[in-house]
Amino acid sequence: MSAAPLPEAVEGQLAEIGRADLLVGIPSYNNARTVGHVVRAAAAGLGKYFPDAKAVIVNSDGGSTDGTREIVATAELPDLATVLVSHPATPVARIVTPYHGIPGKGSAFRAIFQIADRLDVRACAVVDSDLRSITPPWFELLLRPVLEGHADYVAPLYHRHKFDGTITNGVVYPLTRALYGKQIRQPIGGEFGFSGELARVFLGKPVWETDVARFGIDIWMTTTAIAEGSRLCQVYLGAKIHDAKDPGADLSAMMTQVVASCFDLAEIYEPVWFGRRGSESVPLFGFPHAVGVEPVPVNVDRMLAIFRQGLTDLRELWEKVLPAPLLDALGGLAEGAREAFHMADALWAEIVYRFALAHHARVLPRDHLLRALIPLYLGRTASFILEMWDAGAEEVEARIEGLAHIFEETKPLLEAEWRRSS
Amino acid sequence: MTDFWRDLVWTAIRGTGERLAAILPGLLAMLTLLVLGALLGWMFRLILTRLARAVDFDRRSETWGLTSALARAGIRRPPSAILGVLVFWGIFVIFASMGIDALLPAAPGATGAVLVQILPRVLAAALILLVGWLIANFAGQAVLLASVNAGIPEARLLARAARWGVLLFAVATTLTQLGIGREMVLVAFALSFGGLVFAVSLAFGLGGRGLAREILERRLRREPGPHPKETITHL
Repeated sequence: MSAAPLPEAVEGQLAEIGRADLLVGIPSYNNARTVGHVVRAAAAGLGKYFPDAKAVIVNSDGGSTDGTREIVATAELPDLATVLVSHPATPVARIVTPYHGIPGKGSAFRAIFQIADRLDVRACAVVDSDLRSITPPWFELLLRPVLEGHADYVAPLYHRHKFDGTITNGVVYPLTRALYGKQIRQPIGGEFGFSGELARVFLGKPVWETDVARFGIDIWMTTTAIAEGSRLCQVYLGAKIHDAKDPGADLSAMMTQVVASCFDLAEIYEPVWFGRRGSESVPLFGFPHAVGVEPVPVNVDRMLAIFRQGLTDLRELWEKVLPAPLLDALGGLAEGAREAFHMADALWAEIVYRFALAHHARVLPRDHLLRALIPLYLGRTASFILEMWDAGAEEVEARIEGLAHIFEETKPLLEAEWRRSS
Repeated sequence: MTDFWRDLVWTAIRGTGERLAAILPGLLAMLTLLVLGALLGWMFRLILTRLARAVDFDRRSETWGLTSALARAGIRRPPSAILGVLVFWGIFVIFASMGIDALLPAAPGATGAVLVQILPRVLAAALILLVGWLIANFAGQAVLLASVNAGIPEARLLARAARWGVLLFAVATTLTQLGIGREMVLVAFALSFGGLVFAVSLAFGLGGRGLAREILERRLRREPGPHPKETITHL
């Protein structure tokens, strides 16, 4: 497939650089507040941990209007004498490029993969540009396993607040693990390391005019890496703290994008996951340690109110997706008191699988189907928060692992119905 | 007297025979065309139904909301079968009109000409109605989902309003296409639609005066909402 052309100035820079060993990609869109910190961390990390390697930082920008690109181009790198034991042999080059194609993180990644391919790099890392907790060691952790041949794809492992990442914890992790049999705890983490060869594989896939270019690139990369038989590993990066934003505001978009990507990938990689049972752990590098995380205020009452409203207003839609006994079980949940509200893991696993089946059978328009899942997801999230209100990090993690086991145990239901509706 | 009586009888018989002779070929032609229409209609119905099933038309109709819309109208047959029935009757009616023309040689082609004149407009009107119906169901469902997910208590009311708004527009367009009371339809639609918007504005302005004020104040002064804002990161 033909690649989108790169700007002339970038072509000139690429010709000047020739080839490189390492590449750090930073997709951005209006991240002026944080991108300078990310670039400095990357430059320090590359200089400190890979002083002999020829490295390039690529900022692929989606048309920022707040000066993000200018900040990347002019960001003063840290005084290397104060942070490094040995000076890098060559200074880290910086490429700032606008990307072409459908607006979205996926298109930004495509430009990064193109540059990685042109520079024939050995290892790449991509990191979000809104990170506040990123530090130079992240780049060693993301790049070293690839550079030393231990892995082709490196997924992150973070320490997060127990109520953060609820789509990851409640849907994406257990579903990906049950389907593909790999225990990648943060499949949509946002920070990844991968080989130059795998970047070429990503680039060659005919997905850049699809929704992958717009969103869902993280789960697409992880699933593609698993399905292509890449060697996987995880690295512990500590705490993940983003720039302040209002994540609750666009839940519908997030849910639709990420879960739809999971369901789409299940269609594509049916031969990979069908019949696979259980799961295996993925090697972990780094040193897991407890870190302080920022408190997360949650509004459980609002979640429960939307769940209850869904039970009355969306019943007609849900009837097309969920069998009658499951709907009755959900109806029973609404009757109890707030504190007693509990959605069992088995019930939630079946709901997710039923929605995957409805997506497979095209029971509803895709966007409507995914939006119909939101009240159920909020009900499940409320149940999880109420149960884990006083629980510690380990207990919460054990609970998420339990949910993942239930997804694995319930998988035969998905397979039986999947073939029936094919 | 006997001759006169005989002439009358023979004249009557001859006249009837001549009339029958004049009608009979037309009658036979009509019957032939009706049988041919039924036969061709049945053949096309069979072919189209199978073709529709082959391209998964029934499942796609479920996705588009056509099946549920038909079910709401009391039609439980699969959409592929309905398509077959429509094709059958379409072909049959065309042949029937040709048959009527064959039966009435005095005004050859009159029925067919009328049919040819009316048919495109009827088909266009039917298409407008069908597409309007599909869009209305889709819009209603989209509004319902967005409202429920936003926690708006009147979600069903809003969804119904959206659905009926689109349906009203589709019906008005259909009637205009058919040339039925264009001015009347236009005025009725303008009045209904304007009335609907006015009623909603009035209801919100009077019934939800406090709420309207609160929303406007919050928006203009950028005050935080009454509920504590979540900072939960879902991804």
